[in-house]
Amino acid sequence: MQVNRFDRRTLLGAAALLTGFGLLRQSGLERLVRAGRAAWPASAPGAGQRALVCVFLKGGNDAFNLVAPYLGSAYQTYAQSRQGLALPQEQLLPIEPLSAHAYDLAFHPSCPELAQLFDSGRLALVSNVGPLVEPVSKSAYLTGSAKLPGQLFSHADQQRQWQQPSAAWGAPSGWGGLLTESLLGGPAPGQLSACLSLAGQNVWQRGEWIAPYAVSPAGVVSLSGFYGSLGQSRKAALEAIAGLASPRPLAQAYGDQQRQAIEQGALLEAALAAVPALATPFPSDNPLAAQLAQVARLIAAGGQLGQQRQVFYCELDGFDTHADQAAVQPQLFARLSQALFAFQTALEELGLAAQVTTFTASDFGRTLSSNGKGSDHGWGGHQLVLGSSVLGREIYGELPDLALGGAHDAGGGRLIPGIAVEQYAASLARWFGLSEAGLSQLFPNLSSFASNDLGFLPVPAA
Amino acid sequence: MKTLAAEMGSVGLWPALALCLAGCGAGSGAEPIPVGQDLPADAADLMRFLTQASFGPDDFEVAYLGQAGFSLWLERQRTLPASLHAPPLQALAALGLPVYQQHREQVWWKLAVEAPDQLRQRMAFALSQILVVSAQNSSLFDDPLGCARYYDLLVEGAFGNYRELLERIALAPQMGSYLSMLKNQKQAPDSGLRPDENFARELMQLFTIGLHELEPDGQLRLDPQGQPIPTYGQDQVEALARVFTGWTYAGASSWEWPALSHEPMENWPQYHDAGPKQLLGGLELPGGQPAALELELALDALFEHPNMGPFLARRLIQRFVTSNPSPAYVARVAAVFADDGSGERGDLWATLVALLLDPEARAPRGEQTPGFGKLKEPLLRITGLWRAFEGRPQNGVYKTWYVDDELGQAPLRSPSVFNFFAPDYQHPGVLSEAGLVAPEFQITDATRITATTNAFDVAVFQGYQGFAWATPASVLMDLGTELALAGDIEALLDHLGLWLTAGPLSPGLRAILSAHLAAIPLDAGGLPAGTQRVLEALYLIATSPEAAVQL
Repeated sequence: MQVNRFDRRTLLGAAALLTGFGLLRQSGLERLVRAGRAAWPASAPGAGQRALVCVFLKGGNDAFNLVAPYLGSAYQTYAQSRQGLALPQEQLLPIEPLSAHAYDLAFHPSCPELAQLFDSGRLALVSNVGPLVEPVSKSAYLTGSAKLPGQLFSHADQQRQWQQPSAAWGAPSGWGGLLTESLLGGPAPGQLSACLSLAGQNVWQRGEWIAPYAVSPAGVVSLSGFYGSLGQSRKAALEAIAGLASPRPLAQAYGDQQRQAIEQGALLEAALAAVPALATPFPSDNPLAAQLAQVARLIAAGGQLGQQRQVFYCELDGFDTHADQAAVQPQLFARLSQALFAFQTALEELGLAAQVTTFTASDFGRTLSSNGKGSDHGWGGHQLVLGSSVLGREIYGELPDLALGGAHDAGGGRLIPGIAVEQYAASLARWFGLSEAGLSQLFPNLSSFASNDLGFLPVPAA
Repeated sequence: MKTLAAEMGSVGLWPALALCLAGCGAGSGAEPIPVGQDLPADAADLMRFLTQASFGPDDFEVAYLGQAGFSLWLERQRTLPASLHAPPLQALAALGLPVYQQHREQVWWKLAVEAPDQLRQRMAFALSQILVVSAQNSSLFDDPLGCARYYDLLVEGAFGNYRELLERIALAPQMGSYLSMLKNQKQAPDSGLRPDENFARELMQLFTIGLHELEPDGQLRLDPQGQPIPTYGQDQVEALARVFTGWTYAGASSWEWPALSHEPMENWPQYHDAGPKQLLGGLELPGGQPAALELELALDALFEHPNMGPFLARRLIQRFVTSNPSPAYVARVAAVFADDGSGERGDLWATLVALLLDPEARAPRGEQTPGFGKLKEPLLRITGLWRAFEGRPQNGVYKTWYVDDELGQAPLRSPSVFNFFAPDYQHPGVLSEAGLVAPEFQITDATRITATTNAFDVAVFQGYQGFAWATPASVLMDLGTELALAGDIEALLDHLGLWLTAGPLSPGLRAILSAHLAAIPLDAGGLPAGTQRVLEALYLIATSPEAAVQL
């Protein structure tokens, strides 16, 4: 796959000149070297604080418009499949991966920040990922001989499959929670959960005993209204009531949750109070940016909290673009792009960017074909991995054929994933510190797939 | 309570709304109460029933149910005129005033707390969490009147037939907009365009039959390998999507740019797929039939599907009574859905009565399984407080807008068609370990649970008649009855326990409260005698796990 960079760049440049649209934003060997990977492993994986951040694009992200081919026949194929959903060729923002792929890619015009992160080596693209039970060929799919995940194309089911250790997982736990547990050992009573959610309850951060602790993007919500000695006595009564044992599991669970919120909220509040204000501006009116701004603060507070490992869950909702896709998508992508850029900048400001890896997940990709207004539920989709440890400026996995009826089309442009969720997840979990044995234990179906390391993160030293 | 800036909300809604409610039979205090036979077993049973079947017990309903009994209470609820949500907004608009979503929410709160047709309103609220559309959707957000009119379909259809309601919501332009059936068009062979699958998929998955075949008692049917059996596949979704083509706003003069209408959608035959369609359960539509007929046949097929009854029965039981009904309970309610006794299938009134009067719903606490009951929805905890203690905004305007930011729930503001929480949500900890689902816990995370507790801090300590810093929009409770009990702590706790937890408080809770209250002098806080003590008791009980849970 790797081609001579100069040849490749010459080729790109020529194509750009020829068509007159390609603004390859910078050029020159200098930049390639600067963007090279040699710059990062100063904080090589191993010791120290580390965080994994899931950005769940809820509703099913149309990843085939987040990045799209922008040259020649590949663009024509894309445009033919996508009809009215196709992005105008001249508006796309080309990127320059270090190696050649089946076709050249460009970001959606709303994502200049993502293109910049990619070309500066902080961002990688993982191609056509989705829930699988085994590798699936188009013929096996069409003849019905392939083993498939249950309830393909359903939001709730595929969200769960993305968050769980395998497509056929029977328990309510997810791989983020289970991963955290296997690294932390047993539960530590009274300690703040290492699984912090900016978007409430979720499957991904649940383990056998660990559960997500929800933090509001606005900060910790603490109990209000306890003034004076009477207030303090009321607070004591409230806490005592929450701590009562009940023979009724519903009441017990409510009390447990109240108590946990009070105790852990206090720990968190104290730790956050010690975090200096970030100089990095986060965009306003951007729900993901608000969440990630708080994540940056929580990571900065990690030392104070005694958390060597932190697992974060954020969501950006609204990706179920059946209708009005042309109007909705630019805003969604702009939010994603600006939020991730601000987050990376903030982590660099904190000097923690190599210790944090952020990745996207989504219910499913969407149909390449259009319903005239938008796209429908698909299957595989591209994902982004961000951070200074990421071996960025690269596309991992084979780019899919975007032709309707093409090699990966299960029908209507629902693409059969080339990479299983657990391959993607295992690559992240290994960087986070899980051993090979731990990986096979966490992801029971991992051995059904050729590789358990997609290569977008450096393998930790033994 | 979240209250947003006042300007827009305080404009003149109250007179219009008061007018409507006066005409709709509010102010039923003088109504004579008949004497009936099937009285609740005791005060706890009475309070529990009203907690299940209304937005919370209040003085009138307690008196009525206590004297008239279940049958007459239900009959009164069945025949009361429906309080609608759209007319107050239309009255505002008629005055030339702008109408926003907060006005719609104001009306919801007013009717939830004050309307006489409590059971109908409660059923509409339950249905709004099954047949979901949401004002969080950008196009619906801009159409508050449309949202209210959709809600009114549920209010009007609350006691009707589910098949009829399905057709109404299928053709409702708000649903058409929300699940993008509006302007859905047939496959265009040259262009590669194909019909939108959104409504077709969610209609099956969420509104009628669900993903897997069910036994008549709602349990999963399993194949010989022990695996659940899918009810449909992608082919059926695509075929059904083709049925729902060609629909747009009523009276549209253009397919591309139709004008907004709240009337049922109309079909444009040239955009309807006229080909044959293989639907679920072997139903074959030959093609060439009118779109409206195809739609009816498709809805019939789903409505007649054996899953329909148990699917809906379980969801309704979860909204009113318990998160974990026994299979036998689901089966009994589903059987009534299948046949109301007169041969009618889908009678929602009969289904609702069956689930409320079922022996499992009415069993005394001592006979319930430990997991029985449900976590109350946050909105119902607030309405419950205000109904119990006559909390009313002094200017008639409920500024309880957009509380989903804090509490995880607001009327018709679900984050997606999957509702605020999933019917099978398993909460980590003791509930999961006990094998119980607990939908409402999905929005009860560390942030929201504290925000909910804080909402009661405001509702109680800034919410009583005589509160010195009250604003015109403050919801102020009338605590006269409670103040009279302030000198007798045990009597006060009996009283509040009944109203807020539908039963005696647990000994542990009682002991903590007794000690706390005894240390508060009757003249504490410089407030009128007993006030501080009553407020302390109200707050601590309302925020307690025992009041958060409905048994």
